[in-house]
Amino acid sequence: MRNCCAALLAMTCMTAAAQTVVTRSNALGVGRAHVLDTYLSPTEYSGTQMQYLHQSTRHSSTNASNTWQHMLQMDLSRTYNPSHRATMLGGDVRYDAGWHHWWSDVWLPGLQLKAGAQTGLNVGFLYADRNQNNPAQARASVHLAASVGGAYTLHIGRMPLRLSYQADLPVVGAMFSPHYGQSYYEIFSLGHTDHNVRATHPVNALWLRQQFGIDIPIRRQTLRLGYLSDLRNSHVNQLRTHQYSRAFTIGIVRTFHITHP
Amino acid sequence: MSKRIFRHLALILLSLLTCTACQQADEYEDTPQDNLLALWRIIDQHYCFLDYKQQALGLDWNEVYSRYSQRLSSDMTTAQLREVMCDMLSELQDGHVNLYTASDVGRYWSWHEDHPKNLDEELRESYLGTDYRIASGLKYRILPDNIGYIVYESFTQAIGEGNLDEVMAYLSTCNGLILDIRGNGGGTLTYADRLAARFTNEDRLAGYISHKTGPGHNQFSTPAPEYIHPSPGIRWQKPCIVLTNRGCFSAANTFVRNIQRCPRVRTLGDQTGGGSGMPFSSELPCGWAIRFSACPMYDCDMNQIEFGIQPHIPCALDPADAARGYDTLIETARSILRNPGF
Repeated sequence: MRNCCAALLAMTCMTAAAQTVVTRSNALGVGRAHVLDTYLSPTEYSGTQMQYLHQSTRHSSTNASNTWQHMLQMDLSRTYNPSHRATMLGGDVRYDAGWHHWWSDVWLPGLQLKAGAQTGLNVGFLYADRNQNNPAQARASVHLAASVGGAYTLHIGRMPLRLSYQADLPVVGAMFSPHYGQSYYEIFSLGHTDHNVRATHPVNALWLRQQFGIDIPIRRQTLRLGYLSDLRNSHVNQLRTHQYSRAFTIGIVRTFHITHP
Repeated sequence: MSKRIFRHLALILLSLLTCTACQQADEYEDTPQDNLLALWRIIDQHYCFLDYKQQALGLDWNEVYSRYSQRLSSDMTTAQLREVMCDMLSELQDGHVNLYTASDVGRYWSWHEDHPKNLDEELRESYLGTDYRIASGLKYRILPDNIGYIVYESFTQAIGEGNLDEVMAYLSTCNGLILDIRGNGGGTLTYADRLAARFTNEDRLAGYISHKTGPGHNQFSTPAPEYIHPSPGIRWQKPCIVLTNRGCFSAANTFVRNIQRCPRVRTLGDQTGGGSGMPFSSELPCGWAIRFSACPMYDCDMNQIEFGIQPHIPCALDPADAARGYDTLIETARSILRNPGF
């Protein structure tokens, strides 16, 4: 435990005992997205996705083995069907907040591992430009996720490079979905609902988000190069969906020290 | 201890990823065979009238595939493939079923082409004259015998509550109203609901709607009631006759279903064209788009209205009247409204 605290203290440049240490990162990403929603089309669409990722981690200087994390992920995609005759636009905003417990030197010196839980919500849309009465799909879900990860600091010459990894796997939640052939006219104009909020678990809604990052100190800034893999599947109300996106991200990491009186 | 925890977590993660709930798209090649199969399967799993049309028309969708798949060859042109697909879809006898390709729209229009039109646009224009008013999608005027006359040609043309208030206020001194929706091929159901709401003072059961809950031909939700709710704006309290013909389709068919529930309204003319399935869209591996009926609507007695609704007062356009410059339906409606009795 003492080693763990020491490592985290070194990592976040903590200086005083009665402080909250906040590490914030903002990153932009570009990558590929593969989208399937059988409510709109039986065909998988593929194209470009842009992402914004904000991550904030905080812990007390007196208890660095427990960290609190907020994460905001915003995606915007433009995808095409295989024949390039039709387009889908998609957008999602996902927010997660959670807690991790850290262990140090678990398998090799300097390796830190973490595990914890997150609660989150996601809202979004998918718009198929040539569909008529089913042109769009609304997405809304909440979840409780297991979250694991780790960090390891390499030294190349005198430069420390911090490698990090985190995987988030929702284990229980709820999501909105129209029924198999239900129109939004029925739901919203007539108010006829039909099992439109369904409980989710990894068997009917497997989501897995994985982040890899390398933090490179450049003068007083820290640059984060990352890779974000976000896999989302669902099979509820006889509708199948997936959105697989993989993006390279680049961002800035900043660390703040908040001193408590 | 911690090593054991992480080992277990890793195993759980791995098992989840390998026995995954990953959802994949249906695998098709862009070949005539796979495109026809994809089209057949979309209809088989999503079209809402297969059971009804088996009863009404003797349609056997499996037999249809067997028959049309024999017309395929691997070297056929896209035009030939489109022709086979359109012929297969026409077996459904549904105006809501269309195949959209870059060169053409496959369609079934026999629901109105095989019947008398009962509408002469030039005659109708002669009743409107040149000084009629236009409120968004509504053309209207007061006829010389103090009967209000409204023409609504398409529910794709928006109407707002403000438009309807203005029209109702302008026509409020009339003794009766003729609402001419002949040739209205449908559009947005919201506008149809909005217009019908001007003809009732209380909630009225108009019919039912359901949707498919799975790919089986008989997998449907419990039909949910649809009501006409009275508009908070100006409502029509005098007799009204709605003119219909075979060109009234889709949202116009639903409007006729709804308006027939209103007490001071009668429909006059020919049977409507039908089209009671709210359409959805999908697509084929080659990129062509397909539209089909997905959500069936019924009348208030749970009868199908897919093939149209009979008018209260049957009436046909008489060519002799037309030759004299009279529209038989409008003139019959005017004479009824002079002594309505309803």
